[in-house]
Amino acid sequence: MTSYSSYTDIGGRPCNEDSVRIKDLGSDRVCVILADGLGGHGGGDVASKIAVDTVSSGWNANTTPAELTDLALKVHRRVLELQTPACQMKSTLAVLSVDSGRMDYAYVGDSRIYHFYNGKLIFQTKDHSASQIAVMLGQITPDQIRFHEDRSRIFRAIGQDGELSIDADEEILEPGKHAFLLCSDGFWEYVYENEMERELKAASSPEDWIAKMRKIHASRVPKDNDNNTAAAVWTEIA
Amino acid sequence: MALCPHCLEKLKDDAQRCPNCGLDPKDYPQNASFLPVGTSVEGSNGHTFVIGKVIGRGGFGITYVGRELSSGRLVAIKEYFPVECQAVRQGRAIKVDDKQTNRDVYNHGLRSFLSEASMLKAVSDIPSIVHVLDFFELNNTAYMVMDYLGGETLASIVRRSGPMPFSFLLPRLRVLMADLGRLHDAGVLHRDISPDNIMLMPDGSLRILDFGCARSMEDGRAMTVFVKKGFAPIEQYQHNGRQGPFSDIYALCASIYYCITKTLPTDTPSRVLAYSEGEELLKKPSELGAQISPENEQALMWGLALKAESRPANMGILAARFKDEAPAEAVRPPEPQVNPAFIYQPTRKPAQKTGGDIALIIIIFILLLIAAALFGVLVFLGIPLRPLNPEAAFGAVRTGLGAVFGRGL
Repeated sequence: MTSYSSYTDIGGRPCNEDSVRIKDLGSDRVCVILADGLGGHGGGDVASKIAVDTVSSGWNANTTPAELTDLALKVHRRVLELQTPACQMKSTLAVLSVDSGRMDYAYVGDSRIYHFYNGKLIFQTKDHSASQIAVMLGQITPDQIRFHEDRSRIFRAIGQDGELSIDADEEILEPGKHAFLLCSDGFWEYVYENEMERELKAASSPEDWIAKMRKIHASRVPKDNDNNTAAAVWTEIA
Repeated sequence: MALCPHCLEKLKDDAQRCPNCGLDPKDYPQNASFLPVGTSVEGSNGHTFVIGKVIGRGGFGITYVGRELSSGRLVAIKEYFPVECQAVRQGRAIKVDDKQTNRDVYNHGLRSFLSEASMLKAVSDIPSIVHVLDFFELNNTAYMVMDYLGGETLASIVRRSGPMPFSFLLPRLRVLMADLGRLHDAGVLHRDISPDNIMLMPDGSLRILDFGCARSMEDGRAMTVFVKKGFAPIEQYQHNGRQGPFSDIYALCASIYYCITKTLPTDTPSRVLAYSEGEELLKKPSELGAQISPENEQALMWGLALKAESRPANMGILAARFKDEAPAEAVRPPEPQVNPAFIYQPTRKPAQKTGGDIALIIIIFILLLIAAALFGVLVFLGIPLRPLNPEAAFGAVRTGLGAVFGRGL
């Protein structure tokens, strides 16, 4: 039994460059695609839309990490083709496929994928950002990423110069309750992991979970906050 | 009359080939954002430069070949034209859009560009470093003029003829490392060393080009515009990452790695990501078939340590670790492919040539003075200037000289 919900919000910005799409093929086969267009390059909204459109139309269930990587690279090539000297558009990308007791994912950038098992956080993707590098070099702790100056400096993005490495993997889902959260940095910057867990326990549905987290988000954001987007998928493996 | 975009020599409008450099005058990169071939820019001190084709394009701006009009010397002209902050060409000038953040980014980068140029000019006596001739603001942007070096980059040689043995590179690298050490002692970092920036000259020496200007620019979120993947040490991915000679050491060792393996080293962020999970992604050059001794390979990998503090602290320490190797057998050493029309000019100023001219003029003047004096003497002595009888002339000279110097001759 798989259920899902998503939202996207412009925040305090003139344009929403986030995009999100959930493709449902029935029989508990679901694909979530989230992309955050990078501002300052022009056309971030176009790039993120290309990302969700391309992956969505290319995804069929029973996928592998290699296939998701290929789809991500297809997005990359398309965005590169459409770039002009004045508009070097770029985007992050996070893709999650849940199907037949398995999850596959691929991502590039700092949009995150979280995995909760029976209410506990067991996995989150590592940002392709300079702050994550600082954590790995032992310069800051993971908790400090949110407030770090390099938080927004990403070293992998759809539409970057040259080749692109995609991180992708898969996991067999153990029997129990699984919850996934995909979100752009405009969301995770203001909602902490322990709060995600806490609200998950109290939530009755993916929609409810997101609504509860958005309340926390709204209580923290400044006026000019970034676009923010999240998608939640719940699935129970017997 | 048109100008050849490659070497800036004049040629006929319908010429298929330039008579000077042999290249097709119609075959060069063109783009609305490039300054047109033949544009002239006035430098400081009254130098005028004529712009040719684009020879490089990076995140900081555009590099053109050019010619300095009074000396005729070929130059490379860098124009500040950042990809970020949405700058556009308007006529000859660069225009940034009205958004304040973009303007701030642009202006900050412009100041960095000029300050780098100034630093480079100050160290232009270091032989391996490309010589900066001039830098100035114009067209709402800035320009830096350097010697044009007509060698071939290591990247081009490797692409063309495959990996090189380390034994070929090492003697040449020793000179380069010593000069980079001098650069560091002067407080300047290169920050953009890569095989595209190291040139092999016809005389077998190496030159380093293309400094990482405007390296400290705010560059928005995607950093890939400003870092050379595979050659940039990890600290260059960090906004306030402390850089030092160890940063140039990483990039130099990464460049050597590429030259001896023809494989791009794994980019440092990916190495860091994997390293945090206990995996080293960067393969040893010997695993990729490189010709290098085990000791030198170890020294190279030391320079490629992920953390800055784990690398050699300066070029001298790195150089001392490398041990001379016997030349690889049965391998022809690579030679740069050069077009004689662009052959490297010595970086000594044209003052020598001018000095030679002056010397020649002085010598001619002295000779004329001697000839005039001789003429005067002969007239004084009454000697006909066209002797009908050589013996009589000789006798007359003797008599005349006797009159001047007293009898006794």
